[in-house]
Amino acid sequence: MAQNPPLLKIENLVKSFSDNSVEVPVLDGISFELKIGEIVAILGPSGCGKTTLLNLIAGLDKDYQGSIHINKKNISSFGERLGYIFQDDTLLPWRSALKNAMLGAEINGGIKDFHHELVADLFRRFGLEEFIDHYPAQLSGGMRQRVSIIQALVLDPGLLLMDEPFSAVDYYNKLTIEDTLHSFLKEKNKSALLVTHDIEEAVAMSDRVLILSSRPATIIEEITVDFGIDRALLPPSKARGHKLSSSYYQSIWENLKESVIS
Amino acid sequence: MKIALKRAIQIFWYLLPLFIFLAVWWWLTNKNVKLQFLFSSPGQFYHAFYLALFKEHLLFHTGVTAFEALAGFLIGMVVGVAAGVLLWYWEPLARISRPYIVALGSLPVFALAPIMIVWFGIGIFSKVMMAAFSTVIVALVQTYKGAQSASPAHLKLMHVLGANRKQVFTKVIFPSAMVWVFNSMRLNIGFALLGAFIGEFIAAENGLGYYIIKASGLYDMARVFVGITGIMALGLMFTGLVALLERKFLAWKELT
Repeated sequence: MAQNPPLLKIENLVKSFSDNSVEVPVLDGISFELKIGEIVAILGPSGCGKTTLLNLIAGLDKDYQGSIHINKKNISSFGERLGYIFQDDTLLPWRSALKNAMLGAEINGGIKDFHHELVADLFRRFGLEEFIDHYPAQLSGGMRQRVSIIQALVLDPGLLLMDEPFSAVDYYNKLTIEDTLHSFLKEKNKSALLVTHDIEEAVAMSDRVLILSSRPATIIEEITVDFGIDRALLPPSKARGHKLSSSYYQSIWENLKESVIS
Repeated sequence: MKIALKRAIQIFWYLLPLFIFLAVWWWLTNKNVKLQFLFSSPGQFYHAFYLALFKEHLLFHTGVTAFEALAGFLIGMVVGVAAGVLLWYWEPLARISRPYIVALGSLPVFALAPIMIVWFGIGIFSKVMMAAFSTVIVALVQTYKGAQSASPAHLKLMHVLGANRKQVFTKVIFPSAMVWVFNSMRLNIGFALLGAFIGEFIAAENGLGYYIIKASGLYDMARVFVGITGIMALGLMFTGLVALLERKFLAWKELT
């Protein structure tokens, strides 16, 4: 682990919103690192600023104090693309599943042969080969979210940001998508930040869990999830049933409880 | 076979109101000269239609009105869509021009007809311009609103994917606006016909407006109704054309 350099380094991140000329602090000195190949989950009470944090990292909001460095570069000069999976369906209804998946590639220098290969592989992994020409309106909610995930992965992102990506899909779809995505990320040694309010999901998907306080958010606890086995060999659906899962669950809930209640 | 039967029943239901109308029309005007003077009659209409078709160049007059309306419609749509896009692209312009657009939009096209005749003559061009003016504001407003109605989630996605302004426009704004543009096309079919018709009504030597005003001057209601039928046929034909285009370009919308 010592040789594994940080991909993302956030130092003393402070963010506030202005509401009728009143400053409302949202993030209050957030600092953490994300290593290459690591999946980190961010848990916290509703409205604590989890999505704001992702938006700052994604460069959607540039008004903040502190520093965000990716690959030792300032966020604005980070050469690689970021992948962002949103909570809600963002597929363009006038494009087929395939064309939606290729959107990022089209925007970033055009579709190349390897994009076709990668997309074919991803559609196969996510069980959507037969739906490649379907429009979003012809797909179920779970299928649409899988296409959104493929869309983010086609760009081969250096860092994948996920904002409650499974909250709108049913439980069985969620388990399947989690397994497929987790296996892809581990196989390709990708880094990811997962914002969620589901403790079980955080434990099953991630290598580390950051717990945020209520607004203004600070990191109140950092828990490394270690099942004593290479995570690439333990898919989230299996991790959920692992004997250590419940103790992680309890420990996280104990930390989270006070913030949620307050 | 089942589909053919269903289709036949559907056509029957479509035609039923027309048959009822013709029957009532015939029943009321049959042997009643006074009512025949006011409303003509199916027999007189048929006779006038036959004459118009083979002796009075009905198809030519219809073609003239169709050309004026269609050319004006195309000019109005192209200029309106381009201006709507420009307003989206340059927001300050949209703010400044808003009262002018409202003022122009509320202007009855009839008020402009004399000016158009003075500027562009009594030939076809003044009618084309009347039709264009009748459609341009609706196209502009609908396109601008359509461009503005693009989903914030889609715009956020484009930002995350690193799209530049041109890519945002071509991949999100324009396709979003297309739904509104097609709505404006459906409305504008009627407005374009109205514009061309009013132009012909004021001063013309050809077209269905000219045909109708000439017939009404002679109190020949049968020929007036023939002219009106021609206008309605054009309206139906153009609406069908827009529906065809919509099915081709907005195929995805039928799925939603």
